[in-house]
Amino acid sequence: MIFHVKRFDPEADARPSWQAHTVDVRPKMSVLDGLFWILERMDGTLGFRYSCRAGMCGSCAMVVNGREALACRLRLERISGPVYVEPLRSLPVIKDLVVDMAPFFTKYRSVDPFYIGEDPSMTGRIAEPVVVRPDSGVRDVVDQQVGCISCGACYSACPVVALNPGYLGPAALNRAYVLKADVREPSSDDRLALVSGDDGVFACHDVGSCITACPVGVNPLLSIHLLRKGAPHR
Amino acid sequence: MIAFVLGHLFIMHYQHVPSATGAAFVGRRWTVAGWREFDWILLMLALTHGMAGAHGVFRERIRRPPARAAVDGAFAAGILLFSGLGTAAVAVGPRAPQSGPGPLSGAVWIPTALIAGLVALATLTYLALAGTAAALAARLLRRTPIGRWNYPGQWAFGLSRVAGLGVLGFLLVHVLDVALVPLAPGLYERTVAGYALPYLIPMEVALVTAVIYHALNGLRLMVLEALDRRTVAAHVPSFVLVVVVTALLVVPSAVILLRGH
Repeated sequence: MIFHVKRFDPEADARPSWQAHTVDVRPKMSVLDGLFWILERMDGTLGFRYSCRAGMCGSCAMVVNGREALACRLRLERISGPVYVEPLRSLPVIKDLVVDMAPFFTKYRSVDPFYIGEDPSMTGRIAEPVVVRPDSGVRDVVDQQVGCISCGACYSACPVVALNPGYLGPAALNRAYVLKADVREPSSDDRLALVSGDDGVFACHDVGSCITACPVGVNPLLSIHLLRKGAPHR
Repeated sequence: MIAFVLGHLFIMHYQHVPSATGAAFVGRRWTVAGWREFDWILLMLALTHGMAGAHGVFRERIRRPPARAAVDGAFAAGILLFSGLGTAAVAVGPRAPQSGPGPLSGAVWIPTALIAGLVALATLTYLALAGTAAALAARLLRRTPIGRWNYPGQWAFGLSRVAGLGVLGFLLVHVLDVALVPLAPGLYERTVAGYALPYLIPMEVALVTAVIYHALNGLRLMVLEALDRRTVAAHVPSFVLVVVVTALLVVPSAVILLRGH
């Protein structure tokens, strides 16, 4: 199988270029296995990111044949024809398939992506833990949305991220919804205020590519819709 | 707004052809109670929606506060100008069918400029379409990536944005030509007749397509958002449905246009 890999070293190259390699495909090989094949046998300078190799960490998210995917989970037997592998879009390329996730996580952090209990300073001790019964159905509200692994696939697939550099992106907004819907947090509009500006939920144009791109079945657009229904438009 | 727009589209492109909607047609229409108000409400809704959308497109890319302030000012001025022109035209427009000269009847450069502008826009559009189709075909034949266009949502968004901006562009020209109705009915006739140029017929079909698609896609998004959890799997099928319905509605309009010209 022919692998076309987009190579680019910003310190040495003027522009990206495609490099072709013929990979000997074995049963159940993934795209990540194919990249390892190239790294170990053909070109030891190829740069790509990976970690768990089990579809849990999101490190190996990249664009394969035009669509975002986790390289470790995408089997080569599901791909007919040549394989085109590119880095995630809308993020600066460090080298080859490795991108700088800093812009993604800067926007992610801007929505306070953590549980804030009754003591916002988190220095006190709460008297009683909040009880949420497993059979109460409360968790079901965010059951799908909480599975985000912050791989950046939705961010890469979103054309609004590409057009609007300030847009927070599907992952950050999804996280904001998960926490807004958390019954353990005291109800307030503070979280909505973080996502209701020009670059928040109202910047989304309902494209839906985030839904298709997500490798773990999260629907960020649903989170954005639900946030919109509570967010004041400023 | 969707109801107003589709109603107007039906009258102008299904019941009649645009080149047959001269000053006399407008005069007859505006003598019937309610039509003047209908047209004014349609103008205000479409202008507000279109300018708000285009304003958003500019603000996506323009980030620095001084430049944003300039863009905000330009759009505010544009809305005031075109809503003022359109309101004046509707308010002082003929109350009886007429085709006599008006105060601007000597300004023959106006319809010439409007038609020339449309011809230039048509040329750019045809070149852009041909270039895009060729680039897309080349990539598909070579089986090389086509970027985010692998996603149906990207097509829905891209087509809606292009359609919206295209319709807004036509709307602004349309406000200018309708402003001729009370000022120079003969020049309005000449402008409307220019729409029947064979070179511009595809643009008329494109306009109908753009209006219908943009309206139906907008309706689709409103429904999907309103139903939220119940529409998780509906984004792509609903987009396909919108494309099919658009095509079915455009075909009779295109036939009517071609027959009418």
